Amino acid sequence: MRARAAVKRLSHVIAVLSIVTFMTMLMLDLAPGDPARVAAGDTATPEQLAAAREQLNLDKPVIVRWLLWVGDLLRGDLGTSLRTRQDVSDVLIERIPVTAEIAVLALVMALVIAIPVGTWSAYRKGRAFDKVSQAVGSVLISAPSFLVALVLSYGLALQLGWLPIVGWAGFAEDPVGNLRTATLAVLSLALCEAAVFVRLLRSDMITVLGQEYVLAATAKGLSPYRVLVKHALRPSSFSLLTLAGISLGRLIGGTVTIEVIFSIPGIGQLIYQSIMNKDVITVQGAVAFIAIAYIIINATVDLMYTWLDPRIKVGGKR
Amino acid sequence: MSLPTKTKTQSPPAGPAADSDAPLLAIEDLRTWFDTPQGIVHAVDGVDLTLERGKTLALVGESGSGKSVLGRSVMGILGSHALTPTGSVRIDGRELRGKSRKELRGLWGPVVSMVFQDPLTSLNPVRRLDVQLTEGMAVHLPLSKADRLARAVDLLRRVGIPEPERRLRMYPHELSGGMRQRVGIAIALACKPRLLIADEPTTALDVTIQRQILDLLAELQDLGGMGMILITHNLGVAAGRSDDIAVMYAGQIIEKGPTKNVFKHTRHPYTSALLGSLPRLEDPPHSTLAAPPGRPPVVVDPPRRCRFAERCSHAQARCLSEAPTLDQDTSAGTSVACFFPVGTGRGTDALKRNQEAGRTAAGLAVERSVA
Repeated sequence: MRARAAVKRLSHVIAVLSIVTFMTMLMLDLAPGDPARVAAGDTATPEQLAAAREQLNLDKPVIVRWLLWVGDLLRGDLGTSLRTRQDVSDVLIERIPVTAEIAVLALVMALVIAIPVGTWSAYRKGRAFDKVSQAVGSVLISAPSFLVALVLSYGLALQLGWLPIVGWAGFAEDPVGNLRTATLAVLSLALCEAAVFVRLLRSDMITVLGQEYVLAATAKGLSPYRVLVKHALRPSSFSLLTLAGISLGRLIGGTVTIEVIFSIPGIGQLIYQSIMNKDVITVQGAVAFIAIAYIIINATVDLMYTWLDPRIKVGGKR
Repeated sequence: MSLPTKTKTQSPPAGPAADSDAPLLAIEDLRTWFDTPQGIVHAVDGVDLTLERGKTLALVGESGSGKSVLGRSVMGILGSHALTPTGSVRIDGRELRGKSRKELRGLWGPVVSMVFQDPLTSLNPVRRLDVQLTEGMAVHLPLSKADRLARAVDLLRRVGIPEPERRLRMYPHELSGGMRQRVGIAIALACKPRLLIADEPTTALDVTIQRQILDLLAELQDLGGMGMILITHNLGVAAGRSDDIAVMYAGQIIEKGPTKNVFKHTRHPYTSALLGSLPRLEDPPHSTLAAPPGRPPVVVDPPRRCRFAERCSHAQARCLSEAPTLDQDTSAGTSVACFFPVGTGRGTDALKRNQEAGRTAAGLAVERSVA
């Protein structure tokens, strides 16, 4: 049974990867602009263009090009950027840690904010704390993250001067500078994610707090803290876990606006620039990475369900 | 370290008003109201009850009569939409009303504790049994972790769970319903309560298991001198398992007394109707059970009248303009709140008048008497 589940899962993964990368290639092929011109340069002669086209296999149908790309991928070769001539894998390895750091920090911070706030809001439903957190949450949910980013950078960087406005320092060279440059981006992303998390956790927690076993735990004379944390939190966390997984996938995929606003050299910025430049090969590599990241995150989330609720068995239903 | 035994009775926890002469539980004029969109619901509306140590009081009534709310009011574990109950609840002479939530928490477990109705929903599905059994002890008893686990094993053995050590590592869904209710009882007994409130402890279980659970409760109670309120809608359960019985209707006690007297000299038409709805072996097959017509009212803004009048075959004009109080009936040895009790001259006349008229003063159709 285990092996069958694993095979099923693997075939699922392969199908998702194939569809996503093929669709990316197809969409970029349909978009206006000529990758051959990007590769050969603006001043290329028709002969040079034709040569570039042949070298890039642009004369072949999309499906063939995709199969060739998959073949290279299986050999560990993601190709070279049409514009910079860098290996796409090198570019990705340079960019991924930046985005991953921001994504993970933002997710952790969002959870650190959302779990206590959501729990307490549910416990004190309709009281002052709940009302304030709901109101703040509504603002953060309706405001796009770039707006939050602009407000934060105005306040914390421009007015107070605590943080640099833009830029990025690598962790290896300058750990403190790295955290300082990451803070604004992390905070802007975390606040918006946290607002949604709070709302979700609060409503699930309110349902759980109405359950008989919570009353039974209360009737043992446990403190409210223990009832909330040890009895109510875990059963209230299913939707939160699902959403946190989706959020992490989205954040790992790079948040284009935030990376552009704060000039952070991450995946989001890379994809944005590559699409602008018709750098098909780079986009393709980045998309493959994002798809793989999503798949890994989803598998992790599935495993965590079984930890949250012992009634769920791996590969089975409740 | 063992469960309470007769020789080693747990002394009442020290408190300023702890009084060994006072009954275990004394409830006076308890009122629990809920603020709802329909208005103020009088779920418990002026209840007086006492319970002596080691005795069992059966609290009987239909669903919605207020029994569970009464049980929860005694403990003080009502939801946030409950208005602060008024009246008095004293355990061992100590007033519980007006105590802060924190003070009450100290009593939940060692003084008063509850067995919940549905063992499928009252155990946390994602926590192992060892945690659920020992966490209350950690708050109330001066025991080390190892001692708590040993006591948990002991408790599980007492409630008849085989292989207790192994079960402690299990989750509730790995046990049957009957086993889970045994665990629920073990949890309720973990801190040696003086008073156990068993809220329909067997309703969710099948009949053979029901009997085992009730036997178990009686046995554990005999050992510890613990008082018990057994909330049930099943008069058959109440008959065999209680010293006293209190019948509840629409938030009030309408008949109470020693169990045998209530059964022998049933006075209230409601109790009588409940008894009439019990199937008997002597009945021919397919005979219709005489359930009281209708359902208990949700009491919003109660009128000054008998709350049972609409469903009562004895109802007279007086029942619609005046509320009967719970008065002693010396001939029956019980107390009853009825102007025209069953088995008395007044009651028999009232029923006869209604049967002749074909309807009661409240408009309920009554079968015309054939005799």
